[in-house]
Amino acid sequence: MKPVDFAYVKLKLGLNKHKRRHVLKTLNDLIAGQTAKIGSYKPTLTAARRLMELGLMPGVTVRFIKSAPMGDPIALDVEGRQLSLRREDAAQIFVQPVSN
Amino acid sequence: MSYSAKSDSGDVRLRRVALIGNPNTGKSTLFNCLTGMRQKVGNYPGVTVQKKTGIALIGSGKVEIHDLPGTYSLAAASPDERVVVDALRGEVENLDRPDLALCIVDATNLQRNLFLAYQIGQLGLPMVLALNYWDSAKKRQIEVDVEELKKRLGIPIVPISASRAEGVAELKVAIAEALEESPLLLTPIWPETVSDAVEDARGLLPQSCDERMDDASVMRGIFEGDDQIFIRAGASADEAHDALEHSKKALFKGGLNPANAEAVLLFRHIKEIVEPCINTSQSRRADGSESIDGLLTHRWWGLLAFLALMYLVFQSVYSWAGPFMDLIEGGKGVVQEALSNFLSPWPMIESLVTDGIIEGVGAVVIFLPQILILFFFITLLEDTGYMSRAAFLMDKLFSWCGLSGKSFVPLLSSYACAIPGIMATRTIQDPKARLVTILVAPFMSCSARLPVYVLLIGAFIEPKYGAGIAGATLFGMHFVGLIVAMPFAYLMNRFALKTPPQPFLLELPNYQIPKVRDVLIRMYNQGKEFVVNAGTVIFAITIVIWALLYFPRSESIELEVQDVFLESLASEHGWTAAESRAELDASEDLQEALEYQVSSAYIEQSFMGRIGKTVQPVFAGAGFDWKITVGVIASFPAREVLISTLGIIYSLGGDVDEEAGDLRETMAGQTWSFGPKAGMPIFTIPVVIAIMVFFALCQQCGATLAIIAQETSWKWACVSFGFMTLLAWLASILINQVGSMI
Ligand SMILES: Nc1nc2c(ncn2[C@@H]2O[C@H](COP(=O)(O)OP(=O)(O)OP(=O)(O)O)[C@@H](O)[C@H]2O)c(=O)[nH]1
Ligand SMILES: [Mg+2]
Repeated sequence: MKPVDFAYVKLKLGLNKHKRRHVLKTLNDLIAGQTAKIGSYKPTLTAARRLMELGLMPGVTVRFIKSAPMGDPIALDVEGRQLSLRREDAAQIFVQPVSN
Repeated sequence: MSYSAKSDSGDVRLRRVALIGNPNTGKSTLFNCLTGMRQKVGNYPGVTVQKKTGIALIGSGKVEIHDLPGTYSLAAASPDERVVVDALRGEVENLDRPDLALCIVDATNLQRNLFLAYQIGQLGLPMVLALNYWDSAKKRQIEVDVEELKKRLGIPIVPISASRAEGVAELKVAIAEALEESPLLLTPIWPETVSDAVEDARGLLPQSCDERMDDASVMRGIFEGDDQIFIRAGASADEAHDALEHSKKALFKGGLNPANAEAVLLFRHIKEIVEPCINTSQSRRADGSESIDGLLTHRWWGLLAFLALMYLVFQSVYSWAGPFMDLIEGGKGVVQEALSNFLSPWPMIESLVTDGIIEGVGAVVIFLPQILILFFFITLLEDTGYMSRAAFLMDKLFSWCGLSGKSFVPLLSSYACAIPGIMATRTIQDPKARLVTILVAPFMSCSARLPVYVLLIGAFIEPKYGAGIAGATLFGMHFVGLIVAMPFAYLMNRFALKTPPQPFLLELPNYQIPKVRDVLIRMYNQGKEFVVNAGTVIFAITIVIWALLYFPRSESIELEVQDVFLESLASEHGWTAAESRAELDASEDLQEALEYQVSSAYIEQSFMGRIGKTVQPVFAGAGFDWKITVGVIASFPAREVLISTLGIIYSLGGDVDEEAGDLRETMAGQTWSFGPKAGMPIFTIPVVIAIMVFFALCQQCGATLAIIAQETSWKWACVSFGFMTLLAWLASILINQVGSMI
């Protein structure tokens, strides 16, 4: 049985009042320069553990730096470190954009 | 005094200190400081891929230091990380655990780095913490309260700047003390849910297994979801599975997601511990690097800069190496001539020394300029931090066929030599991408192929079409392998290998100014590795080839050839036998021609000549005569011997007189001696291209096969050999047939 990701379910059901107005955004939807807080991972994300070890944890604020010239992968600023991941993985990480 | 410990067998051994840390935290730099050894370092995650051992003088005694590959966590994902885990758990046979873990962490990124430290602390290893990049931390105004941190972690902590050798003396003192006192990291108190999960697992494990495992190992098994840990400790597959499932349920009941429970709990703990000890006045931003990236990973400028850089690198490798190679060639000639004068009373020894030994040494040394220059650039690119950007830029090009941007570096290295290239694939976490990269690597046009191209292009393309086309051909030859290899990789990835893909995650380190010392060390190491490993193979093969070409050698052949020669002279000019003999004695030109035929006959008679003639029909379609066939066959163990083989064939067969010109001219003068094409040149343009493509695609390198087998298995070495050779053969026939029709 796949573990249930409660945060994800809650988001889906719109139980989090303050989040209800937002369409669900993923890292993949950010644009260059945008800052966002990592929410939860989709359970299908195989890289979850590795991402966390690299500091891309739920709750951490990241900044989308840019995407590579051919559109993929993307570069993020994770607490002063630059990290790059592919869009297919980024699309499985929910974020809450932070207005600066 | 020396820090030594008694092992179970009773003999005294040196105390062991293992250097552990995230990738690119300066482990190898520190290792070099401590041991005085010259381990390669580079500003690119994954430079060290094997364990290296050295001895350091600490206090008044000797201590063994192990430099390990970098890893982010003990949940090992790639083979080089496996090395670390095995070393720490003491799971490698004949190797017990280190006595002390010297954890090296990046002071500018403490929280993330401490994750690994905590995992290691959990294993119960005594630990000393080195806070590296102290200089960068100061520059970026990150203040760490070391005293407070010491209290909170419970272990000795020493701030250092490994690249400037600052703080190393203090670190040594701390290591010496720690070897006596075995300080342990204060491990976090796990929430009850975790202890419940451990209990649940223990309840289901057989007693023997239960006794052999401490809580920490059980916890690792649960956190990693790895039933192998239990199986190794003696549980059956079913028991391990049940234990794992139940413990996962326990975690779940406590509101934890088993897949990330460890990361969440540990990072929460680390944050609590570390945050009060750090004072950052600046906002934490990837500093200057981002503005440089504004250009270097820019949509257009970035790609342009990348292409320009690669062009520069290969142009320099090619043109800078030239004069050195000429020098080596020249030196070789001088030595050969001197020795051959001296040894001429003993023809066989003379031939062995000049055509075998000197030729063999020359064949090895001639590659050094290129290898050194290439690694000069690779180290420069790595050390500045550009290499990761190259992977970032190129990933999209590689991802469609199952490779990744990380394949770029190994494949680029393979342009020098597939051996370091294949070894560099250990930095690729995804096993499938790694295997595909390994299989693709030998297709890259390694520097051993370059002389083949240069010889053939110089001899045939350049005189006919001019320098421009010659340069373009050389450039093009470097892509033949790549173009063939990519679809091959796609097919392999799509149909042959059925493992799920792993995510591509890449750190982009900050840019920095490369250090001359690091660059020189890397060049030295690569050069040495080549001479020692590949060099010995190449040398040995050159001697064997010489022997196959020299023996058997019966003097009667000379007389036979002379008779035939005289007869043909006589019939050609209508001379009598005596007349033609007199002419021969009088004319130097005729003597030269005779000598040419004699050596040629010797070669035809030799073992290699016989092999070549037997196999030649296989290559007839490609337009190869028996001499080229000999060259091709002799090149299977190592393609770099082609030139020396051809040199031997033609110099013994046609190049007896120096005035007769060099190898190129000799080759250009080769004609078919029989058959439908008798009298026509052998080296037509289609044949020349067929030979080059054959060498571009064929797996002619025993050392590469050995390294593939070592990194994967002999099965894949055989696949690589069979596939590449078949492909090369088909392609050369196709090119000659199609080319001859045009
Ligand atoms: N500024 C600064 N740079 C350092 C320091 N220590 C190491 N470096 C640089 O950091 C880079 C990485 O060093 P390495 O010793 O190769 O790192 P490693 O931990 O062995 O890396 P892997 O083998 O890839 O895991 C090199 O370019 C070093 O010169 C330091 O204290 N300060
Ligand atoms: Mg290293």
